[in-house]
Amino acid sequence: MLEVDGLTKSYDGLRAVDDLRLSVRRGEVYGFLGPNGAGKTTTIKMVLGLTHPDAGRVRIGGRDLAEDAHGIKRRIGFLPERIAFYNNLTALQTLRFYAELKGVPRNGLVDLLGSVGLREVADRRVGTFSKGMVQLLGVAQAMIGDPELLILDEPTSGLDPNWTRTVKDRIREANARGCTVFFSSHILGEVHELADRVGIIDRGRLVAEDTVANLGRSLDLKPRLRLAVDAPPNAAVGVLEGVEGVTHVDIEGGELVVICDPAAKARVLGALAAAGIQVRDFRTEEPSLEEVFLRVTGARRSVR
Amino acid sequence: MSLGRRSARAVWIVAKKEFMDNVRNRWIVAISGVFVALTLVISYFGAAAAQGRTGFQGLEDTVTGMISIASLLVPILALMLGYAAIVGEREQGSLLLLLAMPVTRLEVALGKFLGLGAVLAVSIVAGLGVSGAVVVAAAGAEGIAGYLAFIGGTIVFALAFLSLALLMSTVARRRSTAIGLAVLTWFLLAVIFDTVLFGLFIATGGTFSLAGGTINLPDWFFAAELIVAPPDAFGYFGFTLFSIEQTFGFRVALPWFVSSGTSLLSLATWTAVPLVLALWRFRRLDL
Repeated sequence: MLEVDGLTKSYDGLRAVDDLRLSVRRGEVYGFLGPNGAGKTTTIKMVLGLTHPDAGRVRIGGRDLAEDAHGIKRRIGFLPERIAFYNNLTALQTLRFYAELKGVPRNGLVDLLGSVGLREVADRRVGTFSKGMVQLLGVAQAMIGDPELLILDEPTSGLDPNWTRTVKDRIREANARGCTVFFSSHILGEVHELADRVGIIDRGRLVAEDTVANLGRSLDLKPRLRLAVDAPPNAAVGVLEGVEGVTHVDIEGGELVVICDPAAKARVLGALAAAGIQVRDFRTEEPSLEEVFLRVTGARRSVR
Repeated sequence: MSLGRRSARAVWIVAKKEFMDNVRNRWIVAISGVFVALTLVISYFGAAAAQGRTGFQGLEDTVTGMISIASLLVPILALMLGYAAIVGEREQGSLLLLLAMPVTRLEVALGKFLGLGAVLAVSIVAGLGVSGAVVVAAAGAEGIAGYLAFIGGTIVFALAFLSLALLMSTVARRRSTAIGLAVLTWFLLAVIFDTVLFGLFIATGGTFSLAGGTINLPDWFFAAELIVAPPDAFGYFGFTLFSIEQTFGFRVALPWFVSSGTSLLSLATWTAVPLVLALWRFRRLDL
C-alpha cells in the first residue's frame, strides 16, 4: 500500500532521514516507532509530498504521488503532528471545507463529529477549542470520505486517557473496514496495542521492521520468568545463578525475575525445589516491545 | 479533460474560502467604505484649495484628485490583505493539512490570489461605484467612460501589489518578516522612488526648466517611472485617461510612450511577474 525506498533528507548537513526503506501492507496497522527527533515527522511529510526528499521515492498504491496528486491524495486521510485549523471557522465548517476539497459529499459530517465526541460543539469556532478538542477534530478530519490509507502522526498526543481511548477505537474501526493505517508514535504501549507490524526508526534509519513477536525472536530476546517465592529472594538468587541456561537473575518488587532460555524454565523450578524454596506463583513474560526498542536504539538513551 | 476540471474545482474552493473569510471578517465592507469616504471627500473638498469653493466636482476632477492618494492607499490595502496568505497558514500550521488535501500547490496559490483578488475587485467596484454614482447625481455624468476605465485600472493596480504580497508570503518564513517586506516594498515603490529618481536626475547633472509653467524632463525619467514604480504607472494611467496635463499647477509634457495602454501594460506585468515568482517559490517550499 505504501512503499518508501531510499528516502533521504538532510537539513544543514544533518541527515534527518537516511536511506529509509519501509513498506506498509494493505490492510495492516503499521506502527512507526522512534525516539523524539528520530525523523518520523520528516518521513511522513515526505510521504505526503509536503517536504521534498533529497533522494529516494514514495509509492502509494503502486503509484508515485507526482503521477496523480488528486487521485492518490483523495484516498488518504492525514493527521499531522500538532494539527492546526482555521480559528475563524466552526468545527462543522472546517470539516465541510476539507470534504469539499476531497470531493466527498457533505452529509455525514455531523455524525463524524459525533464519533469523536464533538457533536455538541459542531457550531463553535475552532479558535475556542482546547488542544485536545483540536486533536479530536483532526482525527475526524482524517476520517472524511473513508480513506483507504490513514497516515497519523502521533495521533494521541495531547489527549487525556478517555479521548485516547476514543481515538484508538476510531483507528481500530477504520482498520476493520479495510483501511490501512500508518501511524507514528513514541509511546511503546500504544504501538504494541494497535500495531500489527512495527518499524523502528532511529537517527533517520529504519533499524527494525517486523511483528513485535518476530522482532523479539530475531534479536534473540529471552522470555522473562517472574517468580514469587516463600524464602528471602536474596537466597534464591544465589541458587539460580548457577543454573545452566539462566543469563540473568534480578529482584523486582520482592519477586525474582529470571531471564533464561525457554528450555531452562523447568530447570529453574527444579533448582528452587531442590534448595527447599517453595514457589508460590510464577508467570512467563514475552519479550516486550520496550526491550526491542531499547536494544535497537541503544539502551543508554532515555525513552518515555 | 477531467484533470483540468478537477484543478479548476480545487482553485475555486480555495478562492471561495479566501473570499468568504474576508466577508466574515468584514474586510470587504471596510475597504469599500474607505473608498467611498475618500472619493466623496476628495470630490467635495478637492476644489477648496485651488478654486476657493466646495461642492462636488465632476468625474474628471474627482479622478485627478484621487490619483495621488489612491497610489498610496491601494498598495497598503493589497499588501495588508495578502502578506499573510501563505506564511500565516505556514506559521500557524494549517498549511500542512491543506497541502495534504487533493490539491496541488499551484492550485492553492492561484486560489488564494484569485480569492483575495476578488475581495479587492469587489471592494473597489463597490467603493468607487457608489461614490461615482453620488458624483454623477450631483455634478453630471460627463467623463463616465473614463471613470469606469479608472475603476478597472485601480483593480489591476491593486492586483499588482497583491502579487507582490503573495511573493513576500512565500519568501518569508515568518509572518513578521513578511510584514517587514511589505512595509519596505510600499515605502520603496509608493513613497520614496520618485524622490530618489529625481535626486539621481539632478545629481547626474540634469536640469529642468519651469519655463512657461511646463516641467520638462528627459524621456528616460518617464520610462523609469513607468517600468519600475507601479504607483507611477497607475498615476499616468489616470492622467492619460482624461488627457490631464496639469499636476500641482504645472503642465507636464509627457513623451509619446506614456499612454493608458503602456501604463496598463506595466501594471499587468507587475501583476504577472511576482505572481509567477511566488508560484515557483511555493512549489519548492519544504514545510
